[in-house]
Amino acid sequence: MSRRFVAAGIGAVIALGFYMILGALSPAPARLIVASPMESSAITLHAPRIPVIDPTPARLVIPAISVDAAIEARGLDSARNLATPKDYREVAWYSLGPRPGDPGNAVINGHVNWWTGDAVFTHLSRLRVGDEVRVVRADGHAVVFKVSNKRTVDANARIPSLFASSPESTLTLITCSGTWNPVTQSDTQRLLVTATLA
Amino acid sequence: MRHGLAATVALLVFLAGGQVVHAAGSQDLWPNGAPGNRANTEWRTDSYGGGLLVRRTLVKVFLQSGEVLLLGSSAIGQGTSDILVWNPGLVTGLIGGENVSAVPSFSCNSQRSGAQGQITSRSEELLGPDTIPAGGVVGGYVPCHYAAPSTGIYDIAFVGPSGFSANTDGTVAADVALANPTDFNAAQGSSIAAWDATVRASLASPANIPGRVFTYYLALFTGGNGLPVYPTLYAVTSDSYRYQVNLRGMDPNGWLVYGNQRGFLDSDGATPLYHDAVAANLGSPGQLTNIQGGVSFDRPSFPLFFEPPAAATIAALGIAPVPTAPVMAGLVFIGNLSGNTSLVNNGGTFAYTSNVPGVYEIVISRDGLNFDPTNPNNRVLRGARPAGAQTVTWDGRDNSGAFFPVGSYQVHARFHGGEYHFPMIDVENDTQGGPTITLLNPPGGTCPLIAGCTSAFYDDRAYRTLNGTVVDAGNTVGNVLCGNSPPVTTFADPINGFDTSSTQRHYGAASGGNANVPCDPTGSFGDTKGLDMWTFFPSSTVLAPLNIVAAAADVGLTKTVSDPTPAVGSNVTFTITAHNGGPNATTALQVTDLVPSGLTFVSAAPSQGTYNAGTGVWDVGVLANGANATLQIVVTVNGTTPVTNTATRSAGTPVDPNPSNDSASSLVTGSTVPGLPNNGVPPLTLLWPVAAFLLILLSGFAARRLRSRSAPPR
Repeated sequence: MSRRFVAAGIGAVIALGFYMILGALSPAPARLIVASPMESSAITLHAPRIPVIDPTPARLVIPAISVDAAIEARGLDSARNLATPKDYREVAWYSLGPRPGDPGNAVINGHVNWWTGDAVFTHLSRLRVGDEVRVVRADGHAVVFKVSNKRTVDANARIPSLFASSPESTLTLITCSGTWNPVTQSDTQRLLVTATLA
Repeated sequence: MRHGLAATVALLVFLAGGQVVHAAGSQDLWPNGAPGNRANTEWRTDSYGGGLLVRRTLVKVFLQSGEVLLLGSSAIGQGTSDILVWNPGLVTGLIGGENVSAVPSFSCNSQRSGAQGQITSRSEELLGPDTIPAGGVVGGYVPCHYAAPSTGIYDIAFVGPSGFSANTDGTVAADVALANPTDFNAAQGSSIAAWDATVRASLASPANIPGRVFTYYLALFTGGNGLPVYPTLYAVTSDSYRYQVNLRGMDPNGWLVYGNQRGFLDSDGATPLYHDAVAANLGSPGQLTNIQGGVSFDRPSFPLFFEPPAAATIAALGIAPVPTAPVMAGLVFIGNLSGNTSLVNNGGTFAYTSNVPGVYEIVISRDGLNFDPTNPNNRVLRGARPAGAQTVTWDGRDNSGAFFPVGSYQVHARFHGGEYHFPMIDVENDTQGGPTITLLNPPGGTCPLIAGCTSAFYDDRAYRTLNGTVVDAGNTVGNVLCGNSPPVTTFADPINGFDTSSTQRHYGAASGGNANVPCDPTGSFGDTKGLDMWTFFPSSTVLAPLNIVAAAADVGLTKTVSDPTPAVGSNVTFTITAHNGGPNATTALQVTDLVPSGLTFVSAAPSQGTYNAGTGVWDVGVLANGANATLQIVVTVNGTTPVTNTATRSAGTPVDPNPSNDSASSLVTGSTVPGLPNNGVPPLTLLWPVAAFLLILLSGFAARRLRSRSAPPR
């Protein structure tokens, strides 16, 4: 057994152990869908392939409004507001909070319009309770949510519950709504769509 | 022999003044032993008040179906006299000007034979109708009779010898004893000396059913002066107060007797006058065809009974059996600026509630001590209103027409139940000081006015009407009106009243004084006048203050903050707006807004004036009526402790009458929670001007390129 093989084996064991621990810690494990089918387990002569684990959210898929967008990891801007995506076709995941599928509320925002016209969340308001929202992770797995609530809040609102810790895994999608205020250069309200694990 | 004994007993009972149930009619007005003189009852075509009140006494009677009405008069058989009856609902129109058809439901002439329907003596007048068949009331007159076909209120006209549509003064003996032939012959003209309307269960019954006969006004005629009369009447107000009215020596010639809630009306045709009406020297002043100052008669509205009214009649008139004591509450003055403050010359509105319908009386005192409603420097507001919440408008003037000056004033108000006016139209003389008005059924059993249940009011002084006219012309407001021998005491205590059983208001002479010319030297005080006397049952007095200010500017502040929960360390903008709600411009206006700890001042931007961040004073300066000024203050939020930032009006002239809007605050709470993202861009519609501008630029650029390309090569 070469040193290289030994090192690979140790790495695989560590990765498997991490994966098992992660699963044990999750009180409401997300339903994971393998985006690319694994090889058949009927071939037992080979050693089991250890999947690469990377829960970083990579794409947001909302079939009801034909959204399939890349996810940017963003934090806060200089005014301590949620940073928006750099590309109007993409969405921004608040990377200082939990990942989608982790305990707590994951926050994703996207533009409602752009200088050129529609943006990624132009039709977010059309979502209805029960619609599916899927977050595909970097490892190819998808976490599936169902829309449970919609509400609008004042644009200036600070909503502690969005960032509060919780054993539940929820997802909140945010975009602008209301009317355009030329003084503040902002729409007057925000649309918050909440989804829970399917 | 047996009949003779019965007649003797009946006459003795009458002479003894026993509890005999009289028939209703002239014998009630002039009962056995009545002092003074008799007045004939009129049915004629001319009028008082310029056609308002026709000189005809329309008698009314409440009959149950099947009951019989027995009728007689001293004029039946003379000329074209008659006694007419109309079934319920046939006589229509306003009281005093009713539509009375010449075709009645019943005519005595169409029934009578022999002496039927004739009252031929004082004895017959006092005894009333005999029964049919005769003999039930020995000595009574032989009546015409009408059986009521239905239950209701019937109308009766006693027409004199001159006929239904005549206008003949006639010769009136004016003797209570009916001893003169003119009491029974055609000389009665358009009047009759004696009449009777008696209700019985049947023709054969000798028992009278009392309290059924009444009228809304009596047109009477003595044919001269020096002939005082003493009838007693019983009035019932629409709110159930019952008054006994004894004319007590009234000495008119021809006149009306009636009662209503408002007496005479001021020049607006609605406000009770609480003074006397004085005829203008036009038309027929003795009948007040034209009245000075735009004053008019209010129509009669309360039934006058000839004996105490029966409960069944009161019920048939829709009047409750007992009155309810009035209660006035919640009196407030609503100024035209705010609260109870009005700008001078503007007046305002009083609001109150009452538990019953009636008449409000609001007195604004000039000095807070004298609440005399007739004081020229005070202001009295009076009028009839329904029960419940009501408002009364005040024009800001005193009784003399001058505006109340700047100051604070006290208001006394009370509500009148049972308000009863007893106007005396063209009553030349009343040397006894009558009438005596007695409240018979005060709520709670006690009459609150100064003289108890015989209290009332009068005011025989010159006055100014709402249209500014002084009545009588040339007189001085407050002096007694024109006419010979006015009352020595020219008005009753305006708050407490006077005793109507006294002689306080006696006026005129023992005879004469009927000049029929206003203020004629030979006319007695009551000649060509309508003299009012009124009374009421007052509520307790309620109080309310009010303020009159010279000028005012109601500066109101509002304040907003750009973000009430900003991130700690970020900036927010407070916007303070000062609005002048008027009515005057304000000058030297200052608003103070010192940035509190927890916030750090960054910058300020006033729309006018200057802001000193050290003192927090914003010198706004002048702000016109209706104008706005704004101040924007940018601050940094230092922590998560909630901070209230308050702006307050701190100076300015004139006074601000409304302190409730003189400060405004905004609460800012710094937050460590992230704020929401700004995901939007301006709507495309807002970008069209930019797009158009870019298009023009591009077009120009393309044109230049085109020109350069088409230029000839160098």
